[in-house]
This record gives sequence, structure tokens and C-alpha cells, in this order.
Amino acid sequence: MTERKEIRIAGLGGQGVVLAGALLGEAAVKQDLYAAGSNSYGAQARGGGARSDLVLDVKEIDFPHVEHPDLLVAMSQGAYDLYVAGVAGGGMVLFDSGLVTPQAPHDRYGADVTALSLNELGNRQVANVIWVGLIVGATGWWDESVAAQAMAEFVPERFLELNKKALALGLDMGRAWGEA
Amino acid sequence: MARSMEKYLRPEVVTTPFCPGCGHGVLMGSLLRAIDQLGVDMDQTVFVSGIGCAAWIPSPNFAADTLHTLHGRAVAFASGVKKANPDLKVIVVSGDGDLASIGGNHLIHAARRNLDLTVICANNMIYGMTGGQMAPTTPQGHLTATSVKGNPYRPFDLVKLVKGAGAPYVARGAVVRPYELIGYLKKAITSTDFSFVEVMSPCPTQYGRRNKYDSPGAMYDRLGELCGSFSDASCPLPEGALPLGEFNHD
Amino acid sequence: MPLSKVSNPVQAGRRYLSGNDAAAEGAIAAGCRFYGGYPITPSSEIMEYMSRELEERGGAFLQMEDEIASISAVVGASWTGAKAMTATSGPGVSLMQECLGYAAFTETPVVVVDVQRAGPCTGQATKVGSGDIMAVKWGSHGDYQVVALSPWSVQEMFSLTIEAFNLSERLRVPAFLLAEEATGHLRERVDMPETVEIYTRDYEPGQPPFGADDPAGIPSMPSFGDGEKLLVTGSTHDQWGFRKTEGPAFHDALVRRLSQKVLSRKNEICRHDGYHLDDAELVVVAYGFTARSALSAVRAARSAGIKAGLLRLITIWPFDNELISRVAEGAKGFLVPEMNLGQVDGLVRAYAGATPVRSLTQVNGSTISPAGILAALKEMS
Repeated sequence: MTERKEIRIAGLGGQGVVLAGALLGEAAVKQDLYAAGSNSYGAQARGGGARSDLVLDVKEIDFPHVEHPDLLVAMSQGAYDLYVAGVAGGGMVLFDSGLVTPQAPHDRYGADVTALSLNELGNRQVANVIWVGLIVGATGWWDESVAAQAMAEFVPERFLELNKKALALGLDMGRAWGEA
Repeated sequence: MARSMEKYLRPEVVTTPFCPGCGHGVLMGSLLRAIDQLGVDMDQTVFVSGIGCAAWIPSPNFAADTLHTLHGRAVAFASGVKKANPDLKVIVVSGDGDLASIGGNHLIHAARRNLDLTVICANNMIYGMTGGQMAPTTPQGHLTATSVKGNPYRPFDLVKLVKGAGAPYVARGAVVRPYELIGYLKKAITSTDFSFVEVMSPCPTQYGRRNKYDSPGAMYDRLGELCGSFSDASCPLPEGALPLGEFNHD
Repeated sequence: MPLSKVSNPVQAGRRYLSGNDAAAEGAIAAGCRFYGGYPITPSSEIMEYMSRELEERGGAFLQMEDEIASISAVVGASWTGAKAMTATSGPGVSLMQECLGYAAFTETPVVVVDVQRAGPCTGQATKVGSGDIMAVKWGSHGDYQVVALSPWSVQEMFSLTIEAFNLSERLRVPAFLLAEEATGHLRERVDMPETVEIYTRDYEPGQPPFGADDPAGIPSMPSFGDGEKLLVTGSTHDQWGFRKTEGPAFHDALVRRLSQKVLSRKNEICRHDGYHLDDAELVVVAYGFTARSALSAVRAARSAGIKAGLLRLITIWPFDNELISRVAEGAKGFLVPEMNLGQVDGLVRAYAGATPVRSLTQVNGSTISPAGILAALKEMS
């Protein structure tokens, strides 16, 4: 990563959107990038739409809010519909293919992450960590080992193994997207 | 006031600010006697008061740290003092309008929180300093500057209010019974819980004149009648009676 | 000097932290030993942090029944010698105003973090605003001065909270951190220092606690329990605290000294920074979060060949009028973007001389975008 990147992760309250954003911000700072994160806040974050925005840069960040994301992660149809038009030219859109019906040109990077989490890992709650893996793998903006370290600090110890598997699963799929 | 109490007063203070016949002088003397008998260290005691005649009992008179605060807020200020330095003894002295009307919410929450505060409420049943307006403690039907046809509302029973809010020590005394009052004050000051003493203290200037008392003496006589001992629960209380004592057990 | 360098009691080093948590850590680093507060969006995280940490570190925490009680408890605690604070938002600031006047009049150091939201009234409780600029200065009745600092980053939520404590303790005035929701809830990279400089209250035993011969003097501040038999009152008082409610000279001298002790030290208190100001023809005067939008816009304007600069006000109160006059001399125009209907704009106009001033206001609950400021600069150029 050499220049400012804007990332927007959006979905529904309860999908772990805020935690995913915080984890990615923490990982960025661990590798000495500048990071600034903001979340949707208030009643929305509890059941309605949830949003976590993150700005990364190699130099000090002046305006810290996301305006035209270079990466949009849409975990719900509502989030996709609301934010896809604002994506920067050349920006990437990842979406949950079980929950989102995409439209061209942003219809390429879909994964049924919710089902994957439930079927592969037996737990719907780690879908957001699969997403973290997907984001890190697809963009190459983070050091994978630092992301793993940040993840370990964020999740309770008894769920660490499960989350490691989730992160690895996401990374594998994400890398494939990144190379595509 | 007796010369023996002078050591508790600032040397700069030569007169009290109270009107002739005001009960607050007796309360002031009773409080100092309680302090004297307990051997309270005045250098480690903070007196907190609000706004009104009763707030002037400690400030500026007492030779101790005194915090003369805003109208109604004495108990909230006192809570901060006590919590920040639990080694200090914190005694609030203020009036019924200050503590029970504008400051009523602070009073009940402090009782609930049960910090070690002693709150002494001089109850003259009226707003004295501002000219005799109706207080939350004015008896129904009584005359004030804002109830010239008689107070249409019921007064608070402050001991029930504060007890209901959880205060472990609650007492009512009266300046016509100073020795009992000193006893209540000593218990309240000694208590390590939130303690509350309501002190019936006549205001001849604003209350007595409006309610047809011929003299301060007549007010004291009537207060004495209303403050009789009503220990026999089966005995019906006279109208307007003010049962004195400690109210710690149901 | 009672300003001393001490080891930072919170985790030093590079961290990813929210603004509200950083303000709480700044308070702890500054030596705060009492927090009294009442929950209110968007400041509550500060109170939650203090409830977890303060008692562990030898301080005291009280959740009060309302904001009036909160600031009252803070003033009471401050007189025990404890550095004391609260945090709130606009509605809470409104409720605290009478007691803020008491703190100013009794010269009680208190720190209030105001994480501003979109007002007036309940407004949009979770959305950003910057409408309390005038309220914190003029909200209580009568004439008095306060200090108010405006952080633009999570780093400054930490460092300016410490500075608010230092100034409050030194000047014996209420000091505000005029934060905004967007900064309180921003998470950002911060570099926490190994050491911090903190001010220890001046106390000379036996000296009058409420006045000096110097008409701009800051008196010694004893604490309850020092044996000084303090007389603290919100009535007009002499230098020992005796009520002086008659006699015009006492009131006049006291009210003037309380203002002068702050205004006469304006040069030591007021801080600002500047970007591209040397040859700037158009100067954006901004503060808080909006200054970040402005910096982005100024950089874009420079790329577009517009000679724009940014004057960022870090201290809002006392207002640095001489700074505005000085910058006005070299400028062809001022632009003042604000998340209110032009509160600092009026101050800039008052001291801009002949330099034209344009106000850019936004009160829709969201931050002003760099594009909006850039568009205004293009129109002005």
C-alpha cells in the first residue's frame, strides 16, 4: 500500500461489522500505517444498518472520513444498494452472495460467507473474521501475520482456534480474488 | 450564645444574621454543642450549605472549612467532597426550600447512595430570605406570600421522604427541645451512614406574622404543643402534629 | 514552576484508540482524581472508562443523578485538592451553566469535556455539531472567563485534555475540551508519550485564597482539611472569602480580576497552528474536526493553483483576536467553515479589519466535506 485507501464495511447490526473494522484498523497501526476509523453510531448499530469506515495511509491522514471507498464490503442487500454507487473508480466491491444480488460491474467478488461460516466452521458468529481474511487476502494492504496478531487480541481466548480457522479460510479465498 | 462555644466561631463574626425570634440561632448553638461534646476536629470538618437563611448557620460563622454553594446543590457538592476525601467529616446545613424543593432530587439520591454525609435541614416551613413564599413544607391552608388564600397543596413529610429514599439514620427534632436535638445531631454526626435530621425552627418574621401569631413566643408555644411526645401509637395525633424522634425502624 | 515532567501512567507507544478513550486517558495522565458525571451521548464512553479505571488508580468516581449534581460534585471534589472533571454534551452543558459560573467565581479548577452533538435542544443526539462555542463562554450569567480548547484528532483528545487540566489548575478557571462527536468516536493511530508535563496546584499556606493585590493575580489555592478554615462562597467576597454583598468596590475589583487573570495571560494560553500561511491569499480559519476537512481542501486548492492557507485555532477561549488581526494584514479573504451557523465567524469578522470574511455553515449532523470548502475557495479566488 503506497497511498490513501478508503474502506467501507457495511451490513446489518449483529454481523460484526464494527469489530471487523476495528480489527483492521488495529492491524494497520501495528504495521505502522496511519489509520482512522469511524462507525455508524446510535440506534442503527443495533439491528438496523451498521457501517464501519476505515481510512489508511502511509502519511498522516487529514480528512479521516470515507467519501469514495476503494473497497466496499457489502454484507447485506441494503448496504450494497446504498453504497455501491459511491465506490471510487477502480474500486473493489466484495459482497455476501447469499444475501446480496449484485449488479454489473460490481458483481464479481461474491462469497456466501454466512453459509460458509455455518457449514465449514459450525458457527455463524465468525463470518466477520472470514471477511477480515477476505479483505486482507484480496487487497494485499495488510501484512497477513499482523492481521492474525490483531485478531488474536480482539477475540476471546476460548474462541481463538475457531477464529484462526475463519481467518485462514478468508485469506485463501481472498488471495485468489486478489490474483484474479 | 454561651462563651464556651465561641472557640468554634470565626473571630471576625460578631453577630448572627438571624431575625429576632428566629429558631436558627438555637439550632446553631445545638449543633456546636453536639460538636463540642463529640470532640469533632473542626479542621477536618467541612460544612456545606446552599442558599437561604439556614445556609448562613455555618457560613461564614463556623471556624472550619465552609462551602457556601448554589441554591439546592449543597448535597451534590458535599457528595463530591466526601467521595474525593473520605477522611473529611462532611456536614450539610441548609433549609427546607433549599434541600427539599430545588435540591430535592439531590437529597433523595444522596440518601439512596448512602455516602457518609450528615444533612441537617432547618425547616421553617417557608422561604424566609426571599420574603415568605410557599415552601414544599408549608402546611396545607397556611398563609404565605404566594398562597394568600392558604396553601392548597400538601407538604412533604421530610423524614418519611428521606427514610423512604434509604437513609439509615433519620430524626426530627425541634429548637423547642434543644437537649433532644443535640442528641439527634450527635448520633447523626457519629453515624458513618447517610444521616438526616429535620429541625423544626420557627420563622416569626415571614411565617409567624402571616399566620397570625402575636409574638415569636406564641410561635414557640404552639410548636411545643405540636411537638409533644406521641409515643403511644394508639393515641390519635392532633392536627398538624410533628412527631419528634428517630425514625429508623418500621 | 509547578509544571513537572512525570511518567505517563497510561500505556505509552503506538496505539489505535478512540477519541473518547484518549480524553479519559489524558485525564488520568493529567492526574485527575475525581470524576462526577451523568450519561449522555456522545460522551458516555469517557465516563465508562473513568468508572473502570479511576478507582484502580487511587481516584474516586461518582455517577450523579443529573448534570447539575455532576458539576456540583466536581467543584466540591476540587476543593479537597483533587483534580476533578466531568464529561458531557450540549444538553448537559446547558444544565451545568449555573455551577460553571460558581466555579469561575470561586476560582475552582474544573475540567469539562464537551463532546458536541447536533443541537439545539435534544437535536440529533448521535450526530456531530459544533454549536457550543458560545455556550461554554457566555452560558452562565455575569462576566467571567473560561478556557476552551478544540482538538482535531485523537492524539489531541489526549494531549489537550492534559493541557485543559494544566490551564485550569494554573489559572483557577473552568477549562473545556470542546470536542465533537466525530472526534470523540473516531479511532485513530496515536503515539502515546513516555512522559507528560502536568501542573500542580499552587498553594502557599496562610495566603489569601481569593485575591491578591495584583488586579490580574491568581491566588494561592488551599484545600479542605489543610487547616485554613476556608470560606468558599458564590456571593461576592473579599480575599479571605467573607461575603461582601454590599459595597461596589469589592464586586468591581473581583469581577475585573477574574477576567484579567485570564485575558492578561492570553499570549501564554492561546495556541494555533498554520499550514501554507506564508504566502496565502485566502485563509481558512477552522477548528476541531472541520480543520481536517479544511486542510484537505487547502492542499487540493494549492494543487489547483489557488494560494490558500489554513489557520487552525487550538485555543478558542480566550479568543486570540490579535492573531486574527495579524493574519488579516496579509490576507485577501477569510473563509470560516463551521458546524454551526457561524459562531467563530462573528469573532473573525470583528477582528478581520478590512479583509472580507465568508462564512460556510453546515448544521445537518454530518461533517463538512473537503469538497465543500474547496468549492468555496474556488469561488473566492
